[in-house]
Amino acid sequence: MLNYLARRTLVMVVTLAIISALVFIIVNLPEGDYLSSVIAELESQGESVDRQKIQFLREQYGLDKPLWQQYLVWVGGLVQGDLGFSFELDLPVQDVLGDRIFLTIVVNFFSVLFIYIVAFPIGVYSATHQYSWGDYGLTFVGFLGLATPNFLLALILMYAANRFFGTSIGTLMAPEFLDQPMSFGKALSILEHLAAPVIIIGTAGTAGMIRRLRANLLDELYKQYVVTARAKGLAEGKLLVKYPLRMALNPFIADIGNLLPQVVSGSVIVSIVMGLETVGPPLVRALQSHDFFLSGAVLMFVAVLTVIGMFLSDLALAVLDPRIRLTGGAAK
Amino acid sequence: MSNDPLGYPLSKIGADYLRSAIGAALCLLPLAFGTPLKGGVWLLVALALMFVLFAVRTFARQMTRVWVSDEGIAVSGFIRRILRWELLSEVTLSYYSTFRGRGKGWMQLRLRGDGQTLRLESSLEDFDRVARHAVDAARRNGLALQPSTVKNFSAMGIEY
Repeated sequence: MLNYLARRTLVMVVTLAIISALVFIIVNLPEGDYLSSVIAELESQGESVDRQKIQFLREQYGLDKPLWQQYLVWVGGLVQGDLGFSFELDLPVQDVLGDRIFLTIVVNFFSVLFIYIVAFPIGVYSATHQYSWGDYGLTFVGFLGLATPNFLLALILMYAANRFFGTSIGTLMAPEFLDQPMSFGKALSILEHLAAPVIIIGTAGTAGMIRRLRANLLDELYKQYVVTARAKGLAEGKLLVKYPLRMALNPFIADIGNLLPQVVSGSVIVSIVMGLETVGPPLVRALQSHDFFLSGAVLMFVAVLTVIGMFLSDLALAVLDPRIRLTGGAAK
Repeated sequence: MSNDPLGYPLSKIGADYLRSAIGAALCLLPLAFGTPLKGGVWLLVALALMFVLFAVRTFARQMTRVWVSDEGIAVSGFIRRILRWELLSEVTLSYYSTFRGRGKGWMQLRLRGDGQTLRLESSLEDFDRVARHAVDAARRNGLALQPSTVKNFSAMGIEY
């Protein structure tokens, strides 16, 4: 297991290093930096600029150094937990993001949980009742879910909630808890508001997962060992749970690796549409205003969340599934 | 036991030393630039230690010698173990890969019996011969193998 752990960790560390370099390059592609833009803008308006403060910020965050040194300063800060300074909002990035990082993790965690909880029974039912009315109905709903972009579903649901129920399903908590420290009441309010975003973000993933579980289980159900077990008189329910379902579950677990990037990136757009207090809205604002530290920190956070999620899913699979070597796969 | 010991050749485990070195270097890079020990840096130090441990384990494998015969299997190195085939009670052959396509992976043969466990990886010289001995012994002892183990043996051309 140490062999697997070391190799997989190395892949993860290298991936994160490459992502950090790519994020740094992409965010810095536009000419100049935020401070230069602000100085030029203020001077063109004839306003005075606090040059001492600008110089202090330049030196503190290494903006006066060559690009490769700026990258090292930025990454060095990130690993220590110093996310940098949002020049636009004149606040440390940590203060800007505040609870948003936690709320993003909560929304994504519950979205993945929702996908698994909903997809599992529906996928099993569809496979065990192939070509029944129930299977056709659920397949139709599944395709509908796959074909509908999350942000569009968010807009439709927000309109419907407002039009027919006179209520808003946007935001992740009641207005009185905004910018308040975490409390029992706030946690309860977050849980109450979670349902709509979780369903919206999870719909496409759920539909895809249902299709995959159905296909995997159908493959297993037609194998000879199932026929043999049935011929020996094993009860249908026991047969299903003991053999084919177990075999069909491995791709189900492995799929979290494909699911996470989809959920995380999908939640960014949905958060903007629904006005959720996650990292999505500050990311877009920071990218528009060239606020490097804020956009870089959010992009790295999303990347770390995805890479660690995939790492944990691979570890779970390696522990749970004594992997089968594919015929023709080269073993060392 | 046969007199020709099997080992893990450097040509096959050399890449693991390289992985350990790259992993530890990447994790310790921030410290080289004077980053103080706080926050996530501790996590990087922990990961670097894991890579060092991996290097030690690779060295232990390099020192390992395996003797296999019709009577049993013996392993020497940091730890010495001898398992007679007649006492073999469990055989597991697992396949690991860090690639999602599951190519470029490696196998691990786990043999249990007489209160001890032997783990051998497919980078061992003549791994196929060891696997064949294990399968023959499992057949003689009437052991029930996991479906994945049977399939993995089958992928090696060994039927159970």
